[in-house]
Amino acid sequence: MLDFNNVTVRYDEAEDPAVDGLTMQIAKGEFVCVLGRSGAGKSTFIRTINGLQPLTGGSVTALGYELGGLDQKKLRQLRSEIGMIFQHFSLIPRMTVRQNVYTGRFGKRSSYRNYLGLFTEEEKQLTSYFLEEVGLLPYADRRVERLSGGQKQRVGIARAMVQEPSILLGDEPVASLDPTTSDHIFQLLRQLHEERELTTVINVHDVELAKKYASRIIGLKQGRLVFDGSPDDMSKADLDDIYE
Amino acid sequence: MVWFRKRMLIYAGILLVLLILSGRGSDFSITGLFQLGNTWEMLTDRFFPPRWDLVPYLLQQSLITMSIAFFGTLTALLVALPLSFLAAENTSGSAPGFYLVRSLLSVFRSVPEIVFGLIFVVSLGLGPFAALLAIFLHNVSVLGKLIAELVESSDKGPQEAMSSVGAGRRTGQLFSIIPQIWPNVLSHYFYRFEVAIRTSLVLGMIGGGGLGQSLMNYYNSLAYTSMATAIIIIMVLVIIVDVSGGIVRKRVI
Repeated sequence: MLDFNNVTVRYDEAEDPAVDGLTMQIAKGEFVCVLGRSGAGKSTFIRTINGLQPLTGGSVTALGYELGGLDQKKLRQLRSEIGMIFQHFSLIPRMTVRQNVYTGRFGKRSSYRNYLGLFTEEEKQLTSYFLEEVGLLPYADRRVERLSGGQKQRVGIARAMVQEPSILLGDEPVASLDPTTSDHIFQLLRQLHEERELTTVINVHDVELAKKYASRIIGLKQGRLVFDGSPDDMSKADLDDIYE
Repeated sequence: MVWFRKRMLIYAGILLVLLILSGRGSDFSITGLFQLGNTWEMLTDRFFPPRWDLVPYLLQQSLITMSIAFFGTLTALLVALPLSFLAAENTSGSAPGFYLVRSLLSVFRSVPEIVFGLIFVVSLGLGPFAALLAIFLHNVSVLGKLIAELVESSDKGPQEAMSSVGAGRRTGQLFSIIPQIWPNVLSHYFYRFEVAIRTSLVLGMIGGGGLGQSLMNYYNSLAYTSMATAIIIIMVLVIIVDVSGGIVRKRVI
């Protein structure tokens, strides 16, 4: 499903690469948590999967397409199959919860239908279904800036899910939330993952959350893979190695 | 000198020298200030009582002034909005296109409305249309620049989210940026509308019609009490626009 081959990303101004020669595969239906210190390359790594981050070297193959060789149209098509949730939610202000979730369909429709806001009955039902799933149907017509942090992230999840994605990415989705809300968000992500066999890759700082919910943990340090295994395989020494 | 660095004194010195030079350049005089009493005397002697019988006629003229300002600025906003995306570094799509649009906006902005007005009065004839075109052209360039700056400083998060769902570039930009900048766009618009009302008065004085032209006619014929009525109507007009702009801004934000 996801194939990383010697993936390297180097930012212009940086001395060391953000991601350094990463090679691995992620199979369909895995729930992967990526651990690492700030600056370890987690966000950069996640963003290589949907092409938000161009590569300096190597290749990423997602859903059978090598990202480097795609034109803009194909890349947009691929992105429409990959949902993503963000640390700071990245919702569109001044729009309602429902309108924000509708934008998740943008990659699958023509521009003029997007501009005119013409959504099919099926798309409307899908939006309502996922709003119900994340527990926000009663707030559907509320503007997003009036929601709490946890509710905003649920909107982000609904927006990603309405894409009907094959892969779900999370870039520190609970870093701005309190521990209880973080746990609820992870419960929801795990539930969605199980219901749909959704391949899920999430960056997280909270080791306990990763151990509790992930089926596989990847540890990055200075852009390099230093741990790859199940939560049960992870020892204190492994953790020390990732975070030292 | 805990609060200030030494170089602040140098800046203050430079400012003082510039202030003195500009005072000389503009014939500023302290003694002249004491003669302001004459102005007050002139106003009370010649401008009062205003000619209230002219109110219906001047209200008609003020409608022309309002129409010039409203049509000129609203159409300018409609043109400036898409242009601003081409004039913003993060959304223009191509560096040559960005520099071209930005430069054109700068060139048009550098020409004052009154210069446009003088040109159009000669080429198109006397009347509100010349004033309208002058206001339109100047405001396209001003609003284009101001909105481009708002586009450049908008939060990149929603734009990235739109890219991640696979939205097209223009669709993503439209939906992620416009809602963010809309209150400030309206704020700029209302300010420009208010300025355009004052500008259309000035353009009226050079033949652009409306209240400004009436004001100039009264001034030339020394009809100061009629002038007073026109001035009061202008003041009321500007206050109404300012207050209604504030109400709309509050509702939108």
